[in-house]
Amino acid sequence: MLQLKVNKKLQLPDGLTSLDLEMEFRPGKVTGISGDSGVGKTSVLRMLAGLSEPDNGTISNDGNVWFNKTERQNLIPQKRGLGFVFQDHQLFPNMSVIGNLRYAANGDKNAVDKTTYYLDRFGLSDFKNSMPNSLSTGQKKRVAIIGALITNPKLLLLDEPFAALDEKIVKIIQDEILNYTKESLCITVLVTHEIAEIFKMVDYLYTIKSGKIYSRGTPSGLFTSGASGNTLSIAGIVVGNGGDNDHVKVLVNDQLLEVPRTSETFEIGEKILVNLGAGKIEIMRQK
Amino acid sequence: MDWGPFYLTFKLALVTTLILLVVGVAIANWLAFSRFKFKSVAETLITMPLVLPPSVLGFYLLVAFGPQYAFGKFLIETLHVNLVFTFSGLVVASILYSLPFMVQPIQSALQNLPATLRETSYTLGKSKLETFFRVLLPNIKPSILTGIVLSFTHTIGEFGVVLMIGGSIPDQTKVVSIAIYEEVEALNYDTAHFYAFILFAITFSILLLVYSLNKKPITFFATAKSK
Repeated sequence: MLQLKVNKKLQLPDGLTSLDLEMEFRPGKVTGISGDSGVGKTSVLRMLAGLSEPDNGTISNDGNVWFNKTERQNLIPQKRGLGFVFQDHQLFPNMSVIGNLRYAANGDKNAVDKTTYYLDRFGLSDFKNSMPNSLSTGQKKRVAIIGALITNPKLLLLDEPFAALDEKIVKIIQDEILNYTKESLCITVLVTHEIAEIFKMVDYLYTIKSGKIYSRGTPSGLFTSGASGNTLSIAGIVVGNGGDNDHVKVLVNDQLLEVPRTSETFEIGEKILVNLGAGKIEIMRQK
Repeated sequence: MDWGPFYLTFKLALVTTLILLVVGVAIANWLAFSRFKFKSVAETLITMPLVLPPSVLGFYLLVAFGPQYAFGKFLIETLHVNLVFTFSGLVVASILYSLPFMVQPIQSALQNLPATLRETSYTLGKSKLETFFRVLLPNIKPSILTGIVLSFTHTIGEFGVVLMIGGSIPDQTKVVSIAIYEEVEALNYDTAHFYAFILFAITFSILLLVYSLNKKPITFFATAKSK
């Protein structure tokens, strides 16, 4: 089990925040991290990866110390058995798709079959000789996910990996990540805002608010208890009025929802968030 | 017509550029990513030849390498290396004189690469060295070419430093720029013009070729912020 007990001061767009976190991540499980933008979710992944150093505290995996401030221990990222898909992931521009994946595979012969399998599953077989600058954002993201999976990571860190991907391919990728996590007993950590993703992928969810753990538990447990507060939101678009004008019709993915109107006025076509809590649905303007 | 100065000039430029390529890339990498407390002092020293009169640099090198001071004495008596009025001395002086022309474009390009390129490579288990050679360097090829060309042409054109540290010994330290100066002094304008024109044509051709190959303009001042 991977354990993190750290604090770190962060300079975020909204000002200085102090992260003070205690978290656990279990093998064969997907642990979700959610919370508002700029709350420090990516920083957690970077500290787990060894790309960013906590100000204080410890990170350990099965009793092996990865980071200990007082003992001045800090295991380099290369030795943490990682797969990391960054939010703004960059493929290596000097290598083709297959070149990027060969570089990731590091001469592992088993990786060849896996590469072919994932390229096919993720709809990229025809693009294996393409250079990154000729790919769309979504295609690059898919290559990045393959690159992380074929290295047999023991810790898979995913920072909003499904943004910019279309729905059909997202389902395939999610299934593959779940299979890999269970079969390889990988510790998978997923940073996400999307409630659908959380319910499908996440076994245990942490939400962060004001630098602290705001809630923790299984997604269904959190939602029925209301412990997740307003931190989980679905993005949608206002398409009209509903009920006796006391509801707003909102399009979320392909589904039409009717959400109780608030005192605010929403324009048709306006992008909004539907916040979900126990026994409570609320509509708010996207910032 | 004595072709010796041309041979010497291009030999000097070639040797200097090759050594600078290794030294300059290493220094640029260090400057781009190091958190060394006194990095700005190192950056200042390396950039100094851009603004310092070449004769000042040449003078200090002459003093440093000469036998009358401790360092020069050590070089000559202990290491048996004489850097005053020798080709080796010209190479050392040229390396120092052209250092910013190699370091600046490469440092700037390294700093402009997205940090996630390095970080992704590290998370794939790659060492810093492998990341440097397989990811960073291949993605800054135009800037490396810029550094090579600027260092080469700058060395061809140097005068003050060479004159101070090397003097004008035929086939040892008498490079074209000094030959031109001496021909003018002797009022041999035809020979001076011949030397000057060939030097002009060669440097013009090199720069034209690079501008044609490199779509981006040649810049040698670091403009990037350290990430």
